[in-house]
Amino acid sequence: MLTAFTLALCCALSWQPLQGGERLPLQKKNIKIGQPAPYAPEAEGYDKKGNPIYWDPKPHVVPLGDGKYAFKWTGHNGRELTLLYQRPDAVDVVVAASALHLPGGSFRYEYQVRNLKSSELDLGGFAVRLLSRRADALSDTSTMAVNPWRLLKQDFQEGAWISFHPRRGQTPIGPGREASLALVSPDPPAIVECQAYGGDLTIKGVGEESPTVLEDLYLRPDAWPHGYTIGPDERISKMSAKTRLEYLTEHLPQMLQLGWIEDKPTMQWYKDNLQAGKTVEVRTRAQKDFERKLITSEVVALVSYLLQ
Amino acid sequence: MSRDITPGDQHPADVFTFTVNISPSTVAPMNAGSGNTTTVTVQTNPFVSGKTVTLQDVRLANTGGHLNHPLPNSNVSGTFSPSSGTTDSQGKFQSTYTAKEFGGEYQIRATIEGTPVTGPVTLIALVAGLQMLGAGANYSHVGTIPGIHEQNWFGTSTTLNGLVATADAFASQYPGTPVPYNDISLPWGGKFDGNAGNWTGGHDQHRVGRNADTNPCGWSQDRKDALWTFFGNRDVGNASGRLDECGTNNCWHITW
Repeated sequence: MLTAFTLALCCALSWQPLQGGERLPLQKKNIKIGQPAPYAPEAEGYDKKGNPIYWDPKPHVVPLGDGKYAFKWTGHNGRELTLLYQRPDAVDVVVAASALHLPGGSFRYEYQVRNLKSSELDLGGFAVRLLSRRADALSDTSTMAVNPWRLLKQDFQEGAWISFHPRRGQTPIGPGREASLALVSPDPPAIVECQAYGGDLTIKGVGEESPTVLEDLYLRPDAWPHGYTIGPDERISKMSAKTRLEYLTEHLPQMLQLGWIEDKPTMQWYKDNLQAGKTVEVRTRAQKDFERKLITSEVVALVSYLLQ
Repeated sequence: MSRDITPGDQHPADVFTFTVNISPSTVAPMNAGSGNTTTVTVQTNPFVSGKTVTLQDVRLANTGGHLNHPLPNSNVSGTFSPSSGTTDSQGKFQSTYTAKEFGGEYQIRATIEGTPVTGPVTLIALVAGLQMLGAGANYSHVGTIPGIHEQNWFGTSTTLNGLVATADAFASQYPGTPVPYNDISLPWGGKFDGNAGNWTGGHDQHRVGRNADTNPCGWSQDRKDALWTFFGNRDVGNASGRLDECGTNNCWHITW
């Protein structure tokens, strides 16, 4: 009965896997790129008397708008040099995900990574933090490529990221476009982290390294837009039914905050009924709420497979 | 860190000892992060005022990864502010010392009324926490300059992890082609001067273990593309920037 219900729900979801409410875009740290720290002049050579000749690069930043900056300094030849820096968080990204229980027992995770029209950049990459050591990317059905190493590597650690990037030669995933990608894993879904960045991390050189204080301004990967989605979690496989129920209940507020649950009364209903142990009622209601767009496919996946 | 001396041949009323102290005893090289200064304190015992104190730093040879560089050299001397003065009513003279941009070991020396300290205190200028990139099957160490810079592969753990992971990932796709890793930073960080070893030129970055150079000259384009991508992948190199230094796609400078 339970399996039949699950299969039916999955089949329904497989047609329209990513319905639901308004998901929260990946969040940005909005780190301000200001002027660099002071840079002390340094000797770059000696005059005929052996006295140092000092170089004062006068590093500074000129914002150009749209997340672009001119990193400027005086080069060793006395000319002003400029590196163009594009901040990689100048993208607005929403991630939608679903999970499908395959006949063989594995779960197929599908992701739609939407680069919103408000973005300044093409989507440069997307990464999911895996909490499972048993996951593979399904590159044949993905519009983004996973690095081949990931497919070959058998011993990656729990908590490692799996990253995807646009395929070479394909139309860029510009603002207003979306990418799809998929994973398969025997482990059931849980809430996991995800990140995205825009553009290309490449900076075109000018034949001379910039003063290190300008480099200090680069945004690190942990500053890329960050959010949550669902993904395989091997811990769930080892949990008792009671612990799974507790996991689901505890994460309801986060699902509300992420926009996966429409409103607080809806969340409260799930909370009350989960705490009462009414798992059949919860699963039944989840299907209806999904069709009414009160919850997203992420919630359906979690409810379906954590309450099995 | 402190030393006591007793100036000789003094009138009994002028007999005193003095102590030189620096705090902290380790600083970051200039232009390699904050914490470039230390306070130098000269203290007489008993308190004797009006005694002239002069301070000087002396760089020790072959420290910080800089071998056979010319010394003494004005370019490596830090600055005291002030570099001389007189003891106050508490018998104290204080100065702020600012390190230069090179990692290495210095002696802080003081004279009082022309009498030198017999055992100067030691100051270390370094970027803390750098580790050497160890040996690995999928990368090679290149770029050493014998007798000048023989240890040019020191980095932060983030940098080293990224380098190893990238090389491993690349090897899984293209076995048998070790990635050549050139300059990262010197063992104690700070300015990585040029190959002439005369305290000038060289890298304007590579000071804090966060940059690494690799020069995949002669590689096919698909290999370069793969390596370039791995450096930026969140689950592999996890770098924050990739600089095509000379615009020829042969000189790469990766930043973490």
